[in-house]
Amino acid sequence: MQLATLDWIIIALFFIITMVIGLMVSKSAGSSSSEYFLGGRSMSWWLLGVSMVATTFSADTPNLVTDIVRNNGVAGNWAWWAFLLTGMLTVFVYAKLWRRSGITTDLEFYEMRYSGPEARFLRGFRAIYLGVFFNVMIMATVMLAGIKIGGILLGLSPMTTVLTVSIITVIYSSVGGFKGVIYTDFFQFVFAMTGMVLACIYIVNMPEIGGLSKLLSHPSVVPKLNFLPDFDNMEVLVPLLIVPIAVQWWSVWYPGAEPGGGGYIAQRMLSAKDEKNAITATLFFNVAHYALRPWPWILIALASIIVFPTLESIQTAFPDMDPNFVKDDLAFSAMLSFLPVGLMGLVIAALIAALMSTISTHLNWGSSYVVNDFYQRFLKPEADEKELVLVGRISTVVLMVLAAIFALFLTNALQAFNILLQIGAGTGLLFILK
Amino acid sequence: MVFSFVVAIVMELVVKDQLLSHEKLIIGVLLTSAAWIITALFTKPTDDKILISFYKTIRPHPMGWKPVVAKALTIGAIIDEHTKTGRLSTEILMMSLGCIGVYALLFGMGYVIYGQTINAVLALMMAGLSGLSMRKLWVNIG
Repeated sequence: MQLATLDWIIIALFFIITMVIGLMVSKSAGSSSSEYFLGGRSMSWWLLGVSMVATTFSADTPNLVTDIVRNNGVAGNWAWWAFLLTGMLTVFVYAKLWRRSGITTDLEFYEMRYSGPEARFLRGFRAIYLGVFFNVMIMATVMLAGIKIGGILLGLSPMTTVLTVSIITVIYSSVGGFKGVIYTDFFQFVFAMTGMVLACIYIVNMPEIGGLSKLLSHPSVVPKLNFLPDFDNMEVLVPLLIVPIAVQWWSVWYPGAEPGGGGYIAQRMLSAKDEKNAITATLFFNVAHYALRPWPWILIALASIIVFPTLESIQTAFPDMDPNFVKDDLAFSAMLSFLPVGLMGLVIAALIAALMSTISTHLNWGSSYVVNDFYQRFLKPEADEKELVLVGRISTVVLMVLAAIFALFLTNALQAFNILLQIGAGTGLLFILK
Repeated sequence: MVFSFVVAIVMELVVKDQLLSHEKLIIGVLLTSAAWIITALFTKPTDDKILISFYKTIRPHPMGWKPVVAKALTIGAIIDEHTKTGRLSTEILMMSLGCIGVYALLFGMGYVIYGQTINAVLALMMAGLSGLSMRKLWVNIG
């Protein structure tokens, strides 16, 4: 895939603006750990709400929704729509209680509510388990999506993609702290959504689709359009709707939809300027996350059913593609291959924006656990604010390095696995957008 | 946490495809819940001092906290004022309205895209009504 100069200019501009925003708000970040991890508890609901939505929009989320819609129709999205119940419980019951607690991280809650060595252990253990191991794993997986996009759309090697994204993200995250993350999230989210909406409008109106009404009346799309699964078919109804609504939402811990709120969602509630802003931020997040954001992805997924009705048709269109990677989730990237110069650059930058906003949030959140619930709690309780911020910055960099190494290891492991399975299969990912 | 991890591994490696994924989920939930309830019953209860200070700071809904509230009131650690907190029933009502509103907005936009005008108007009106009711109830949850 050869990008035009205009596409590269748009991508470069995106990186420059992100860095400038991150560095502009960095002045106050180093004054205290509360400033570095919670923005001095002075944040407004709209910045926090947008940041929550930006984080849950990762570079591979559109691929996941495409996979769901192609296999189970629009109704298949109940697998994640059901989490709205958890979200609203957090908004109206827990958001104000989190803010009222005055703690720095949700892990601090354990020692506030429970006593004894068990509470101490749980706090320290989860700080390292969630903040470091689990966090590095999530970031590496997210980065893997970035590596795929970099390879498919830009022809970049995994090393180049990982280094570029990591270096830029770690600079503004470590220097700017929480505020750096929140303000860049805002810019990145607006950018990412604009890119997605424009891509959707272009794709729906391209000659192969012929506009919205033709898309929605196409015989292979019509059966996928229902919002609810078929109530007469229990085999579909139970896993798609009943289990998510009846069991899944209250019983399953899922990053971004923790029952009662936790992780980076809790971090944002704790940083709100007051209880009202904590409630409104979480409410805005749930409205935007569930009601406003999914439609462009769903429409692109539906259009992909017409252009690429089967996996074989994707394979035929991209003959050099390694068959191991030809799955339904690839249909989203395959659809983007039709975008014209300019819009292509914008959409690629939009996907990078989605990737960076997710990584930056995870860096600051993981580092808050390392500093607040491990270093200060167990290693050096007497550490002054300056030292805590320094440890925060160092741990941000270390987390980024670990995630980058792990992501590269994953791609290598995957490549090794593929080589074993299919000696001679090309690195076709690079050619999907030839 | 450790237990649910073990259950997840067993489900993926031992049970594999003998059960459907939603059946594995339900069994996992039942086993993990049994494990944490047993753990809660057999470990030492939390110190009253910690519970009272937690209650005083957070002021959760008194339901489930009655013994702690009673003890705290007798020793004078809290005053009546601290037990007057947000109303749980109103909060749950707002949670329900929030869910109805968001689903109505989601499907309302879908109907607009699908070109189904009557359904779109009905769904968006429902979203609007939920929003207005939430606004009216908002003062009661502070």
